[in-house]
Amino acid sequence: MKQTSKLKTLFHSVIFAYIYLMIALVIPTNYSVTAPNKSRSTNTMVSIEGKNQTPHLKSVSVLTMSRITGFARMLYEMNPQFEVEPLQYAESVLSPYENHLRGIIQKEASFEQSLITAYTLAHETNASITIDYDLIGMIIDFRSPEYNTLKIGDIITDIDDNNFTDYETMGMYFILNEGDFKLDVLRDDKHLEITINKTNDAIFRFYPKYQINQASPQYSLPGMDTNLTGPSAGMMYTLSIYFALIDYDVINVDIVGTGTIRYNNEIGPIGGLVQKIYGAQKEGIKHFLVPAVHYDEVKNLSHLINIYPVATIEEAIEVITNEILN
Amino acid sequence: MKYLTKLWNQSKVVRYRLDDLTTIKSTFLSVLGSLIITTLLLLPVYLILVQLFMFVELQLLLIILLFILSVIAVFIYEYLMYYIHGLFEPKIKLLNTKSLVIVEGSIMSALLVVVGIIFVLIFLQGA
Repeated sequence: MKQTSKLKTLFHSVIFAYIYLMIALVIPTNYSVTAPNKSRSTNTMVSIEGKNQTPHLKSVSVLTMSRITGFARMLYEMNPQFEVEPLQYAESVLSPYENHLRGIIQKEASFEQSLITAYTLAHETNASITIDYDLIGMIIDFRSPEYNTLKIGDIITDIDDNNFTDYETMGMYFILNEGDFKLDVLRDDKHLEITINKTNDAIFRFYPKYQINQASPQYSLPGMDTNLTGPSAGMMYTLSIYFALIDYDVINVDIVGTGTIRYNNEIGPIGGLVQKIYGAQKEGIKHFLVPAVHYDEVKNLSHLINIYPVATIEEAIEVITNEILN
Repeated sequence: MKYLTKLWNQSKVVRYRLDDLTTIKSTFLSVLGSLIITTLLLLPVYLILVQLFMFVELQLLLIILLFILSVIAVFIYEYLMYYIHGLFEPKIKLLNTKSLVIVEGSIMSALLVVVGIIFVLIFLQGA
């Protein structure tokens, strides 16, 4: 009898603790976490046929998780290398599938832009290196939810019958104007005509979408089969392809970097920079290229690793050849 | 080897006798009960381990722990299933279900480990 009573008391107490624990482990919060991850040689992501591509140029990614649970938030906030923050606007209004799709779109755009930039730069050194490509349009990476007639991944091929031939003019026309737009959209290989009324506070984000017809030497993209997504390795892909194309094979120290590559050769902003620096530092890497726009955020970490701010891809090439390797 | 053969033969006999003693209803209820209790017992541990995957340096250890936990889960499920069966049909308590738990648990956990290894290899290839 006494034993049964003890068992009942234990059950009462444990069941409440159990329920609290399960709530903490299961119920999601409106927070996301960014954590350091490992670096990866860029020659495993993009490879140029017949060229000796250095394994020393590396990109570094971060691990992210959205809508973490209460328990996870408590756990991650105890680690100073993790960043726990409220969900970003895009994450909070898009479905998990759309957010995943964005990562793939950004990765594809990053590969295309890296190839075009690197081949074009290398062509200036060696005329036999060529790339033939066409601009298809602007691929939608994000749009405010009220414009749901447009989907993430739609490609806008023309606006108001203007027959745009370059990304910048097309993008600026769309961003700087408001009112009704007649959009030619490519969705699942089908052409659609969609009219939207764009207001001043609407948020749109695009990447250029190219069709690469031919490249010499040829390339392959093993990185498309990996789980890594996002645009932040664009600069390092470009550098890896460029140095392989011009047969620059004297890079003998590990150099890691992060930053998107833009259509105008600028290095664009990225997220999770602090976590990326911790990730590289844990592996004993000494040199880290960062977008110049982010330098102020991380210059206090320069005691951990040599940080080089770069604003353009030409500057990144200069830093590697003249500063790091000298 | 001799012990394994003995265990296998013993489990076959116990299984044969169990079939006579159990009904579809008692089997269904004991499987369901066992599944629920195993899940309630181990789910918090699984959830904690999964959330620790954000720590890159712990990932290998966590994968091993998940494998161990899966094997433990199989044996807990098997044990509880025959225990609950015994509550429905007291004659089952007289049978040596331990041999059955060992044999069935080993086969199921071996299968789980093989499937788990395939998943881990696919995951690591894409990482």
